[in-house]
Amino acid sequence: MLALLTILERGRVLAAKNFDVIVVGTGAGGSTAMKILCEAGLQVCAVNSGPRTDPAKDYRQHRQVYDLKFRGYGDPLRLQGKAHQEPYSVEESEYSEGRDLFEHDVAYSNAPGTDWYWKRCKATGGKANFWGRSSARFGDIDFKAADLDGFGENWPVDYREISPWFSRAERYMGVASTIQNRPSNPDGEYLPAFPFRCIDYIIQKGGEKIGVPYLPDRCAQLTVAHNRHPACHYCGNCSRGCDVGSFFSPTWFTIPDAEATKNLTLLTNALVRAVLVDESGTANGIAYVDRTSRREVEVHAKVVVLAASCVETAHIMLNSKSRHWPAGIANSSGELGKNLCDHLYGNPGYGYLPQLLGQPPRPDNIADSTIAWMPRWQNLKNPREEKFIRGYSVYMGGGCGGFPGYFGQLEGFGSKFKRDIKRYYPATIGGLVQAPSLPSPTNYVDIDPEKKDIFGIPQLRFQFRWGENELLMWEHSKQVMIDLFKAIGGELWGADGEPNRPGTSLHETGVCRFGNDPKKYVTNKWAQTHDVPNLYICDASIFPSCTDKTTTMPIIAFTMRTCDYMLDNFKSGVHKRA
Amino acid sequence: MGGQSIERREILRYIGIAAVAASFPGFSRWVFACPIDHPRPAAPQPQSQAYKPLFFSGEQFRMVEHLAEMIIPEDETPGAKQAGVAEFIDFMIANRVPVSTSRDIRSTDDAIAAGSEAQNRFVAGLDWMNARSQSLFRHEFMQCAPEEQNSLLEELAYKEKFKSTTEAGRAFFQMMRDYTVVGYYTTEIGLETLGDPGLQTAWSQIPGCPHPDDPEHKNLREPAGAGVANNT
Repeated sequence: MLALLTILERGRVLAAKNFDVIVVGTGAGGSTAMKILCEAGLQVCAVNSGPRTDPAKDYRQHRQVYDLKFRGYGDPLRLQGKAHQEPYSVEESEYSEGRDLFEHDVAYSNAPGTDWYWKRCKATGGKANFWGRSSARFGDIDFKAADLDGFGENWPVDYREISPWFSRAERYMGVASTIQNRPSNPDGEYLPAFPFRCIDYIIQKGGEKIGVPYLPDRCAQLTVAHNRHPACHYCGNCSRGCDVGSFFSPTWFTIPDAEATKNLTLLTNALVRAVLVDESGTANGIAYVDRTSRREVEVHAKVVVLAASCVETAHIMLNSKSRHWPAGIANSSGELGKNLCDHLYGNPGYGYLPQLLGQPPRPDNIADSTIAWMPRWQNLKNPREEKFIRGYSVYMGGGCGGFPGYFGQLEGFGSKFKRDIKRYYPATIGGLVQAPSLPSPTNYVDIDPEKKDIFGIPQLRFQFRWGENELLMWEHSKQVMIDLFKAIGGELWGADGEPNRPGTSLHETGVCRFGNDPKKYVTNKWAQTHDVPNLYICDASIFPSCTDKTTTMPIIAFTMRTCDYMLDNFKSGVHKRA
Repeated sequence: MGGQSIERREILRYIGIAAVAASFPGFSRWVFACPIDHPRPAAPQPQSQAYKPLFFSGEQFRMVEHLAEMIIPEDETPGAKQAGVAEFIDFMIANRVPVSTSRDIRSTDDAIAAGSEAQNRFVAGLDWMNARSQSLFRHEFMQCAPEEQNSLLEELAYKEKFKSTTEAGRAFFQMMRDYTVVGYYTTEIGLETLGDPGLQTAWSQIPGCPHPDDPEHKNLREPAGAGVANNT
């Protein structure tokens, strides 16, 4: 923590040290920025809203469900009295023994008709401690989609320009996959892929019959030791945090790298309220609320990087009002908070494969990973081939592992029922559709005009509904599953009645979009805000559209590129050292 | 709200499995971190003799234990009783943990409401079973002969035996079966009967499919007695 604080008026305090750069947020983007900037010799202050993540205390550490008092359901009184009591699932579970990793103190609001599920990990490393690890490259089919189908605008960066940073991100993280020669899903630099399970061979053959590709996913998980990180030991607990660092997470990769330089000051339990500006409207620091003392603290620096996780970045900027920036910092375009996008998630079909009934149990899910997926195959040759534009991908899973959640499909009781549960164990499969929402003027975040959180900070408000295009993809994916099950000789039990709530995927994008026109975009192609040249953004809020691919690896790649640009600006004197 | 909170991180493990949590929302809500500091909090141990129920009366508890054993009996592998399923149910019901609910839980109050509802449904359901067995066999359920108990359960468990007057009983049986299955397959005993690979927490590699030369898996034979044999 900062040792020297100066007392300002009204009880506010000021950090005595000035930094070269402040980085707000320590997730995939923020921690990558910290690493690169610290390694370049800059003095960096990283500000994290919650406590420090401690794998030895916070992760599952091979505990089994029967080791837990409530068998993983947790005490229902756990969140009593909290401002935001909606429980998160999976990442926040009884395995973390009630450690305070997730945000339940800061409330947010939904506009009427909006049902956004905003899951926030406030501990260092953020959601990237528990992420799904799917790491496909975006391609020109994504960057230049507007050229292809006429909707919206292209990204300010194309594949040729970004691909060296994709390579750099992959080399650093370690990504397992194969070379597949599909321009819509560009190949990268890969570790050996996971082997296919029985279900994968069956689905792949069925996919061939109906023209749907089924290929190894790109998984940021170490199938071999990589950059001093050990190979995966396949305990299958990734989604609750890795105990040894065998997949990329800030806790095991970027944060230790940044700390090794001794150039990092890491503040925890520091909830950033606003970016501060000087007389000329230039950023000169941040103000945060110390959660423990509830005091407001100011820290000053020459450059500010926001990487607070997409909508929280917009929240901070919208709350950074000053004489120069009455509508929020760097918001002369009025675009701040606009065009919130998300992945529509849902299970378009589940059932079982009769050919696998009664087979001996096999370790199908010990990698806890997306072994294979159906990368986007729609609208490739002709961008207007389907009723919808762009396209979606589908992950498939199934086979043996954990609790037999399919038991509700099996009738009866007694020994026959018990035998049936075992008989179906290797045979169940299901899908997960990942369909990008299109940017829309009706999907955005703003500041709730009335509500404040318990720290007195005006709340963020969501306005979001699925649009027609993504709902058409959802319907399409359900038909694909019907066709697939026919092709593989499977029995389809059903599909989700409706897609998951918006926010479920944790893949929100937009709200601080990057582009060349300062009137239409918040930042330039380097993720530097058009209005405030020493304010940068290193998270998915800059992505102008959502794709069929996940966001974490691209966040890291774009952050690396932004930091290289920023370092050039330090070298050339555009930014001064503190 | 079936399946609302199924998400990728969990689905990776349970996809097509938890997928089916659509029919069982309770499990997909693998939620609420536990506020207790002990590194390995002790769950109630299966020791029927000494166990003092937290929620149920002694009589109710014996009936729950008996029903659980009827749903998952001891055969080639241990049954519900040996896995302490009745103690699990009593503990979860007493603590109002919503194991099986169709409610959307967004606050502590929602969770408590769901847990309280489960308490009421359990008590009412056990009463219903007794009333039903009285009208069919002139005895309370526990005093009925095994074949009578079995036929009563069958009319609640199998579609072709459903009767229009037993809707409440069927709803109770479904809940009782949910709690029993969750209670059993979240124990080491239960997971071992399935051969859950997750019980082994270190593997040198993923073995992958052993039949890559039969990609469609058309030539597999279902082992005799599949699902019965021990997996060791």
